[in-house]
Order: sequence, then C-alpha cells, then structure tokens
Amino acid sequence: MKHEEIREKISEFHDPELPERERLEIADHLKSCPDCRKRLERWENVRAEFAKAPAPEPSEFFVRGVMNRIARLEEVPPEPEPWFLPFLRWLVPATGYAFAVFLIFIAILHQEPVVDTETLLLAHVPENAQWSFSRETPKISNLFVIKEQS
Amino acid sequence: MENYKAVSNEDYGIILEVLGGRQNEYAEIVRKYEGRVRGYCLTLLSDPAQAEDAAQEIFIKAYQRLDQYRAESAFSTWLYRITANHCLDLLRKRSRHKTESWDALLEKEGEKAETLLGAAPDDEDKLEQKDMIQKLLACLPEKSRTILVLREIHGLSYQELAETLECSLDAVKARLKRARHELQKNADTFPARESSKESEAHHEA
Repeated sequence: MKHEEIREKISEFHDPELPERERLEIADHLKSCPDCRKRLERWENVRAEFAKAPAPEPSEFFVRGVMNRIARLEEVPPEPEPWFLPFLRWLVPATGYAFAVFLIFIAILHQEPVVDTETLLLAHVPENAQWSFSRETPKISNLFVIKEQS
Repeated sequence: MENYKAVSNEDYGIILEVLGGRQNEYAEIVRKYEGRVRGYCLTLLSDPAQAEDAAQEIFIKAYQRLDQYRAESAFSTWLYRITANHCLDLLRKRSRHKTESWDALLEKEGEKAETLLGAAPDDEDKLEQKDMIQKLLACLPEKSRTILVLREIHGLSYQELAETLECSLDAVKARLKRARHELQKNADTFPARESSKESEAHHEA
C-alpha cells in the first residue's frame, strides 16, 4: 500500500476486524513515517477518550422510575361512560332553551294592552264629530263627556 | 461483549415471564441494561437530563414492543436498535433547532483543541478533553456519531452493528470507515505539536 492509502486506514489500525496482513503492512510503514505516526497518535488519543466514556453508576432510582411508569400504563382504564351520557350533555340544556322559547311564544300570543287606546279614543266618537287638534293634552274628564254624548 | 447466545437465552426466559403477566420481572431487564442504555444516551446526547429521559422512554418503548422481540438476535442488539433509533430521532429534532459547525467550533476553541488532541492528556486536561471529544462527536452527522459510539465505546461487532442499524455488513464497513474518516479529518485540522517539523523533513526526504 502507498502512503496515502495507509494514511486513510490509520483509524482502522486497532480494529480487530482489520485483516492481519494489512495491519502488519501499516505497522511496517509506521516505522519509517512520522506523519502517519502522528496521525495514529491523534487517533489513539480520541479512541482512548472513547474508551473512558463514563458508564453511569447503576441506579435503582432509575429502575423504579421505569417500573412506576410501566405500572401506570398497566393500570385498568376507567369504565366507559353509559351510552346515553353524551346525549344528556346536550339534551338537558337544549330542553331548557326550548322551554324558554315556548314560554316567550305563549307570552307574546296572550299579550293584552293595559289601555286599549283605539277603543277609548275612536270607537265612541260620533261619526259626524269634527276633529280638532290641540297642542294641549286633553283632560280625561272631557273625554268622558264625549262618550256620554254619543 | 457477553456471550451472545447465552445472553439471548437468559433474557428470553425473563421476557417470556413478563409477557406471561409477571410485569415486575421486567425490572431485571432494566437493571441489567440501564447502564449501557444511559451511557449510550449520555455520550450521544451530551445532556444528562435529556439522556435520563431518553433512557426511560427507551425502556418503556421496549416494554410496549416486547411481544415483537423474536430471539433471532441477542436482546441487547434489539434494545440497541430501539436506543439508536430513539437517539437518532432526538438528534434530528435537535439539529433542526441548533447546529454548531466544525468550522465555528474551530474558530471558537481552536487553540484549546490543538493542545488537547496534540498529545497524550495529563490529569488536568482530562475533563476538558472529555468535553472536546463530545464536541468533536457533536460536529459529525447523526448517523456517523451513532455508529462510532456503538463501535468504539460499546464494542459492538460488525454483525451486531448490521443487526442494530438494520443494514448489510458492507454498509456497516462503509459507514464506519466514513465516520472514522470524518472524525480523523476533524482531529487533523489542528497542526501536530511536536512532530510537524519531523514530518515535513520526512516528506522532503
């Protein structure tokens, strides 16, 4: 292998999967190539740090956390609500509104005015009566007089 | 790595018990693998709180899919597959929000990195070097990071890597080679401290 090829394979030097023949060839090249030695040294530093990657301490707290979550997953789900419950949720207020509308309708239908103005002012006026308009408010007693005359 | 088949058989017995209704037996599985899963998440995510949450999620996912495990490969390989996929998802989500390019890191911490990677670390440098290694890893694409951590830290064989990452042996070799090359290229960005002159002299010769 040439220098460039070996340089590219430096990171595989410690990999047990590298064929032994290639490892020997690289090792032989390293004896006479400071550049590749330096590259290997850098790679070994990186690799050494990988090897020192801290394995977290065993944690019973973690195990309990996982098992508690699983226990919650396994809990029996609440019983499904009766089939009519969703209907009741809208049926009750809808019935209330309908009853209110019904009451309003009845009230309008049976509405009676407190004073029947038409009857009071027109029905008892003689047909030949002359209309006169005044800015003054008529007295109630005069109106009764007109009624008696008719 | 532990004996492949022995681990598989032993775990499978526990899994059958769990599937048979003895959920509490799953604690044995969690106890056995929590160190590796939490360690993997921590190295890959570089955030202790997020790593703990991710590890919990992974064990919950594994529990929910336990009936899909078919003892064709070791349980650890199956669990690593869930772990790798979960962490990959988190890294992708994270990379949508924040990415620090290698060039940016080089500009910001070039001198420190040169010192740390140039020669064997002494005790004082260890903490900083650990941090720098995580940053070196963080600059790699998610898939490269995944395969490097599985191979270099967790020591998975090429066969286990192929099963974990659900790809062929050739693909594993190619991906590993590319990942190492990327990492080495980043590490080589810094000039060598002692032997640069020596190297130049060699090439001139």
